[in-house]
Amino acid sequence: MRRKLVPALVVVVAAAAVGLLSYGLTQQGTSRALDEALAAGRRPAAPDAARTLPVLDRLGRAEASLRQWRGKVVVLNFWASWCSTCTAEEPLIERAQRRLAAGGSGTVLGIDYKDLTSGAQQFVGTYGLSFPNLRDIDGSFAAAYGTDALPETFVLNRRLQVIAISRGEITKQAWLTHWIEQAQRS
Amino acid sequence: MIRHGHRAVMSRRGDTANAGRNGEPGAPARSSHARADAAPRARNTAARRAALIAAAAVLAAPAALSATPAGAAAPRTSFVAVEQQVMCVTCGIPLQEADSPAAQQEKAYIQRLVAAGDTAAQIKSRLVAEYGVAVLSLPPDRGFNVAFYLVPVAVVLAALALVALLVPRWRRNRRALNAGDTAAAPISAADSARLDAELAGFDG
Repeated sequence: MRRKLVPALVVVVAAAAVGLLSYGLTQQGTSRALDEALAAGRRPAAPDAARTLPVLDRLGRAEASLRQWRGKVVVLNFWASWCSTCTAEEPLIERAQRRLAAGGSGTVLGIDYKDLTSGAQQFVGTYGLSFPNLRDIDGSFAAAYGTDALPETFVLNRRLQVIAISRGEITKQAWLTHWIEQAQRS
Repeated sequence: MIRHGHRAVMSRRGDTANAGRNGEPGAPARSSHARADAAPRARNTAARRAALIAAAAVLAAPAALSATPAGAAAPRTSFVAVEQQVMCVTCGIPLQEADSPAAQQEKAYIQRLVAAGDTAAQIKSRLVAEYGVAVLSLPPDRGFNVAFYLVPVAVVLAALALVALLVPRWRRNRRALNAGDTAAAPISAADSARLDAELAGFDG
């Protein structure tokens, strides 16, 4: 009995250590599942669509989830006030928002990533952003999209399926216009 | 307020002294008498005034401190003390080693809170509200984070248990081995006869 107990104990401890290590490694990695699905010609569902996040301009008083915009085209834009390339991109994003809002077909939804509230609010004011923004305080919402660098933009159709991804700054309005039109059709 | 009250008291005391010593106030002789002892009385009055001002200052000090605006409060912790306990949320390294734009923002925020007189615990609490628990170098002992504290203890205990189980066994084996070395194993009669025969061959 005693002879079997020691190896069993060693095996249990080793298995627990390996399990913990594996869990840690899987949590650290950046998922590219959405990119792979798009490359394979699929339209993956937007991750964590039902998850509620705090609304930036009504902080502590309101929460919203991506699912609330189901039936509309959504341009999901991840940004932060400390991100210098985000500032360069915002005029294009805001122009897209004005066009979407005027047609009533959709919206840009900003996701403020790991940012200071006061800094984010100042950023919104400085660049005159008219679209709604949610706060991803710990970056876990962004992680579901494989986002760990900014800015990144995802174009979603009315069924909240991802149809285009920009991992990096959008430099051409044409890219946004093209994919928004595609999203409106699908 | 204090100065006005102080003045009123001094004035009343002066009137009472004159009335007590000189009878009816207002007579010329009495008036000169009053002027003759005016110098020592002025010194006494000045000393009393100084003592009262000092006492008032001592009494008013806590109130004055509590009334200090938050923005001008004395720091209750240092930037370095807090910086050592938090992480850069975007880089995943200690904040004191980070220099990214997000780290700069975090540092500036901590500096503002330190200057506002927040304690280290208050600052960490605000940082968690802004960035989540990942901002803390040592995660709070809740949920899966408990593993962070329990696993090292469990590993040490398991190692000790293993040693406690294996050491007596090793000792027993070692003892048995040593005993085997010293005590000669009994030899069979056939082997003994063969050995004798071979040894006899050498003798011959």
